Amino acid sequence: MAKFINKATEIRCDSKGNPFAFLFNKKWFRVNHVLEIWKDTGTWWDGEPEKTFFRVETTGGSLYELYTDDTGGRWFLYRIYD
Amino acid sequence: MSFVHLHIHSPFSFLDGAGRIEEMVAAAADMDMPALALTDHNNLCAAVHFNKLALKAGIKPITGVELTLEDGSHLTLLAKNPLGYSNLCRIITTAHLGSPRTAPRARYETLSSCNEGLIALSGCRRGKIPGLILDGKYSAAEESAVGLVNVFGKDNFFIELHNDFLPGNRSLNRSLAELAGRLGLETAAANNVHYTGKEQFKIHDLLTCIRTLTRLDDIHPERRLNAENYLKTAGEMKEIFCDYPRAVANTLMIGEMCEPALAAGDRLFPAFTDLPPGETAAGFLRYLTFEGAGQRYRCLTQNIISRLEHELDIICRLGFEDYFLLVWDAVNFARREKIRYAGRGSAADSAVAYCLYITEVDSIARGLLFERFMSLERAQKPDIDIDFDSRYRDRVSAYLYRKYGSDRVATVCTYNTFRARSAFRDLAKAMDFPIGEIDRLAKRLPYIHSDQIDLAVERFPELRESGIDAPRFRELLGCCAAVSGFPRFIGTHLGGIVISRQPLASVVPLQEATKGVVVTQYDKEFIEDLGLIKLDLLSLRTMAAIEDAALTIRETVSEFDYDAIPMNDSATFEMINKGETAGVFQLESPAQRSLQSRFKASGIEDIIASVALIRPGPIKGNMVEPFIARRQGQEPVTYLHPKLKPILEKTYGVVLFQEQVIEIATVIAGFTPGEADRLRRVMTHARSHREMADIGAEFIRKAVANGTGSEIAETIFSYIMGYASYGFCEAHAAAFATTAYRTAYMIRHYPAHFFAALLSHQPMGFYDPNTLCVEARRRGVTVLPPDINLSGSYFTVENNSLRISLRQIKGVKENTLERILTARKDGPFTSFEDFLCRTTVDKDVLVNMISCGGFDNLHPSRRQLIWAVSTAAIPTAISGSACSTTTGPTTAGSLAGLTTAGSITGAMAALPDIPDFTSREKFNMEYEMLGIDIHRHYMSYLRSRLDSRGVVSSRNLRKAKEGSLITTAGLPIRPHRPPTRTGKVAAFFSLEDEFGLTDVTVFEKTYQKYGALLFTKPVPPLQVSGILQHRGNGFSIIARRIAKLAP
Repeated sequence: MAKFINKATEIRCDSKGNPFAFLFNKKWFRVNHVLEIWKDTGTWWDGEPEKTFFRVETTGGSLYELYTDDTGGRWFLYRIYD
Repeated sequence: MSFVHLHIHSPFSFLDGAGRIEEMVAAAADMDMPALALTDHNNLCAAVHFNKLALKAGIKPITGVELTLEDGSHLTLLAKNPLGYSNLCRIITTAHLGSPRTAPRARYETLSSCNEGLIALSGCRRGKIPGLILDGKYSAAEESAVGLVNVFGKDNFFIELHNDFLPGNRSLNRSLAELAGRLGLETAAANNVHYTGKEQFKIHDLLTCIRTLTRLDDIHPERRLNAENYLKTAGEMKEIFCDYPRAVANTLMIGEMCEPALAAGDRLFPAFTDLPPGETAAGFLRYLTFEGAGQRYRCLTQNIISRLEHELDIICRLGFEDYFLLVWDAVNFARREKIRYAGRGSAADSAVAYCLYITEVDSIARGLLFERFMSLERAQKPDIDIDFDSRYRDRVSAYLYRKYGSDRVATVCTYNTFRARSAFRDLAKAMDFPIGEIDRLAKRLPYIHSDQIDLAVERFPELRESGIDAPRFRELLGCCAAVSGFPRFIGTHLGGIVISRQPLASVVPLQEATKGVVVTQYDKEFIEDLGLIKLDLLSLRTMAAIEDAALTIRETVSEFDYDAIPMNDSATFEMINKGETAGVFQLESPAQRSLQSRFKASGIEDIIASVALIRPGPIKGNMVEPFIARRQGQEPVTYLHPKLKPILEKTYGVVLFQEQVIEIATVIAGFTPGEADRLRRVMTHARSHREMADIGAEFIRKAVANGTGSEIAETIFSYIMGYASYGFCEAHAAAFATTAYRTAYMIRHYPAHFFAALLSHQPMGFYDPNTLCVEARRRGVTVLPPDINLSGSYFTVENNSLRISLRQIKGVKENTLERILTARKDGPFTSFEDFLCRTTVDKDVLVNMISCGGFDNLHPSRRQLIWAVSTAAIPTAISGSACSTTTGPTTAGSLAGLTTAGSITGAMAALPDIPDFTSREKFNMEYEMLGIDIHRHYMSYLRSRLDSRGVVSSRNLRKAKEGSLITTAGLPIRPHRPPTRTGKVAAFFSLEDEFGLTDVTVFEKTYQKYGALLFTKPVPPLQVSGILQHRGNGFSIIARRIAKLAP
């Protein structure tokens, strides 16, 4: 099961721009593995910017999905997997 | 480190590719890529073009395809060499022809039998192996990989890795790499390229919407999630495949493994097989030529013999004797079968073609040079085009299929491309604009390229008034421009047939176009590049009309022979000189009629010049007026350069024919035959401005080096530029002029016969049936209404009258006609009830037949008949077989168990005493059903009111004073905006009234004011005020004001 969150979050990235830690519920989670990266142009005809999604596994073994869009470095926590 | 893209789609993936091939190749060259593979879906349409561009850019072209297999999965195939190319052709052909009327599907067994010379990549996500992995079926994926290894060999099969940032990519690539490792296979990185730059993604997305019939807001699995399928640099590819460096390196290795595979330029034309025993093709051609020469010339002078020997020598030295024999064979079949035809094009330069009865132009008598058709220096392939009677053209092509084998003959394809209207419609629909608005605006768009809409809005008032330039359409129009010229689907060339020495499927991929016609995947240009020769067997309705007219004329004048029409008939030239040429082949447009009324043609040479003059090339090149003035001695004949005199003397110093342009290039700029031929191609194929500019710079440079002043060289080339793309070659003009003159002769001497034939074979020519009937009436021919007992399938002649055919009635189809004519063989219908008893006609069609007077001779009241039909118990059809029984047939068009004719008879017996329609009502009904005013013209009803308002009829205009401001009115005929010398917009149309046509010219200023009225359909009857201009024997009006005709 996945829980839809879609809220802005704070994030730390490595030199390649991949997330290695993010803040959720006032607590920092460290990224153990980036499992997948994908991009979604969304509804470009409505002016929606392209988003880059990251499915990550934290050190605790949980799965999260984060994304950033190309409007200036904002990051969002998208989903949490049980 | 470099990289080779091995999986690229061009626009020839038909709505699944948004990057122009030129852009892709240029971008790859900029990225220093050593090779590039084009892999469109199930076709090689772009292969020839891609090869040429890539080689020019210094890139090795790899011919490939993304094939759809029988299970729907995709497989990428690349040709390593010509054998691989040949196998690709076979595989694609089998995939298409083995799946008629459905999407192409290649069978695995075909891959096994055509595996040589090919490299296979496991494909995109829709490949069998990636698909099975995504489904979690790892062992099945491995089995599938082993199967493909067995087909192509381990060295020729690669696991294709993509990293186009789709969910699951990382794990998929991991699994694919593991599979490759287990089986000892190599991997290859690819990006499934569908466009050149990331910014073109939205165009690709829109094309996908068009392909999948969806709108942008709809969800469809074919639509891509992101914009990553662009032509990435080697650096980008290396970065996204940093975990698989070997997959990147292998693309270079694969590039090395492939060599250019298209074996262009090979002689693939078949040998002529019906040679007499012991005879060679050259010997037989010589025999046939001289046999024909004996018939054509009767007395063979030394001049004729030398010319024929010279031509035969060149034909045989270039190796085209079999080609000539094949064309002779085709026309000989037509002659045996009495199928009328006429050769056109530059073949008319050949006396051999004349002696073989391929053309009707005596090139020796006309002084036409054979070298303009074929020469040892140019050594280009001959191009012979023949017009056949439109009804029987397919019989000629069927003969060739039978003779050479259906595996060696195919029709050449055409590519239907996006133009303004189609791009606007399709893209607007995808972008969810309201359908009504799309339709309204699309109808206003002229026939232009879709990247010219902005320009058209500036120039054409009807577009500005339409609101198409509103801000909300900006993005849409930008997208229209982006897809300009992209192919939408494959179509069938009107006449191009290709015949091959070897089975065609090994030379060019074949597929089915509409109506099941098997076509090549290359169009006529690419076919020739491959070494195949196209034969144009065109279908010309004029030939059918000539044949019909000749037949009916012979019924009254038995000695009439179309081919022996005297070429110096003064009455015919007198008619032509009055500009009374509506209905005459090639001479009937307003521009031609206007030219003829000033030109004073006195021989066939003048008709040849006329045919060549009214073409966009000479018009844009400002050659029409100087030609007329010089021809009539009103202006001295001058030449820009003394070297031009021998070339242009025949045409009074004016560039009129394509051949003259070639000669100018050769003489002034010292172009080699190859360069001159390139110039011809640039000119005749309306290539890009850039290509024209390039060759122009070359012309000027070489001309200056050859001793011509730069200013003069520039002026000479400006003539060539103006002329480009739409000029005739002299031989072609001569061939057309012969037909033009002969049709003029028939109209002059046998108007009823020729107009009946013209009307029978519509649509053709410039005018619709009503205008042709006005013209026939003007010539004293009576137009008779359709009559159920007297009308035939086609228009017929009764004394000096023409009878409207039953086919002309709205809704009358072939089967209805057949039933009526078959029933009529037993005797004429004696009453309306008798007609119903003896035949079966759809109810709506029956009403149409009554409405236009088809039963007027059987019953006095149309209204009563329509009442009877409408009130009888017959839902959709009237069945004669129900006349005496209540259990009728159950075939389509008739209804079982209904009292049909019986019920009509009942209704007829109790007809109410209602008055018939008024004559005006009948007039309207007749026009609606026939498209023809039978008894009188629409304008005649308004004449007394128009007279009282001072509106002048076309008959009285001739008497009006030159330069006077007059007002006239009529039905607007064919408004059009041909290209002009100045580049300004000028519109032309004719106003038709009961006395004939008045030509109207609308110059830019007036056009900008009133143009919307002319080009917004439906165009209403118009009232035009303007200055009367007498030109030669004709007159026209320069419009000042145009308005809807007030009732």
